Amino acid sequence: MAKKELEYLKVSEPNVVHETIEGETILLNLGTGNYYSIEWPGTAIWDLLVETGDAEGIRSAFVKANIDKQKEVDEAYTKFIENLIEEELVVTVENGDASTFTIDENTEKEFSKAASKLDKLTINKYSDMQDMLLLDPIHDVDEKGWPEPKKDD
Amino acid sequence: MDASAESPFPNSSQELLLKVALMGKDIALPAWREWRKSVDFELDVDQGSFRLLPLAYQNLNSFGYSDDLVAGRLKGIYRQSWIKNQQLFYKTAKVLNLLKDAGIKTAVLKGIALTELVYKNYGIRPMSDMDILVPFPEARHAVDVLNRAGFEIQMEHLLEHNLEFGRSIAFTDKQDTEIDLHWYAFVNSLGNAQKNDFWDDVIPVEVSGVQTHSLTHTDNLLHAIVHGIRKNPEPPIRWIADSMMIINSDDIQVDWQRLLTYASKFRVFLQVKRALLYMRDHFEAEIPSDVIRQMEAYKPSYVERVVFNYGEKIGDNVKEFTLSERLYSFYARYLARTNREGLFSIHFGLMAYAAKRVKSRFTQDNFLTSST
Repeated sequence: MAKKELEYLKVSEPNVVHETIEGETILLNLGTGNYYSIEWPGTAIWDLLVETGDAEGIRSAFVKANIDKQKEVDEAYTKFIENLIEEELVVTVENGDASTFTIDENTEKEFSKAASKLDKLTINKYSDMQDMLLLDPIHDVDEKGWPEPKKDD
Repeated sequence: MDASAESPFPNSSQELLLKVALMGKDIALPAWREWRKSVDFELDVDQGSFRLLPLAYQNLNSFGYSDDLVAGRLKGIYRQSWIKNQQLFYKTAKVLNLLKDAGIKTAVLKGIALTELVYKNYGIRPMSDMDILVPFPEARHAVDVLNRAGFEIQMEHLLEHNLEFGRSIAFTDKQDTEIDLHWYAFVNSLGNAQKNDFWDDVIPVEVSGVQTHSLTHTDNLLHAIVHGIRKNPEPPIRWIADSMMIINSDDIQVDWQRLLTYASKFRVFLQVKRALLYMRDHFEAEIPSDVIRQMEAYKPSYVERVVFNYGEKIGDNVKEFTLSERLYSFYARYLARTNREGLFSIHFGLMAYAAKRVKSRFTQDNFLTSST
């Protein structure tokens, strides 16, 4: 059966740029100026989306990772993907350029862990970019580093 | 700030940080521990060192090393650098498109070129402006294109002087992003510059989806050295990182003879010699013995010696001059630009140069002090 149009996603290039470093994906929408940060397990899903675009295939595998909480896993995944679309970080595409996602052993193990950490499947959005860039990344930030500002004493 | 902080050569703590950023695990990790002991992160990080921190972060990260500072503020500095650079590349692409649409060939210089071709990472080489080179016959056309597009020319009174004796002029956009439009890669020995210099073998490169060019890796090495090896209030030590990254890249073969040929042509041989020997002695740069021999045998001219000494002792962006420093700077800047030979000819040319600078004084009162 042919897949529906919404089942494939791709990064909104060239406006959206992204990089994954040390288990954190950082994204910048150059069109809106908004900055985003995704932490694990969102990084695992993001990397697979970038690689294959097969949002439906990834959903199917992710939901199977925790058979006791399939509904919660499905809802968390859907919300995560909807956020990515709302923020124009990804766009839906015809499936021409995308490849079908097939899960491997490592991803299966990672999904199994990820499905029990659904509260972390979020996107952190920073929309006050100009103010953020004025923060001195040595003196004005907390121990997590820029862009987290130092807390007032 | 200690006495050596403005030098193009690092002080001891800056050298430690360069080792953290550039060297293998066996040298970088002890250097990092030593740097942390010797530097108060809240108080002692000068701007030159700050600009090396993302590269240090990446190198430490590549060893699987982490600590509170690396995982926290160094990573944050990397994030911020990545974002600023992405924004700069995005804007650069728009400027490149404007010039391209006007039929002007372009090349990117310095950080943008090195990020695309050498660092291959948008976060590790912070930069504050974009540097774009156009062929010098197109200089005035390119200035007009950027002017018409709404970019504001900085120090406009120097434009005519710079078109004759300079290498570039700066513009800013509405967000104060600086665009340095170059028509010569170097200000040195302008009369020796030929149309095909540096353009003969440029490398195609893409910046945020727009096709442009970079100088060859060898020419980028020469540019990093000549641009960097001058005293500056912001310690210009990143020339060492840029140069070492080029020399150490597995996929880059430096054309040493081309480097020396251009160094001689543009009378910057002393700068190149000093830089290469420094990197050999302090950072294990592999410089072919034949190149060392040629450098040792080179006899610099009077002009080269004055220009070299000026770069090491006074350099760029000096905030306060004594009168003698002003006169020396004026003289050395003229010598840097001229390709005249022989003391009589050189000093005859100085009179013509001085007359034109006096003329520009009537446009704005910054004679002898403005950086061109």
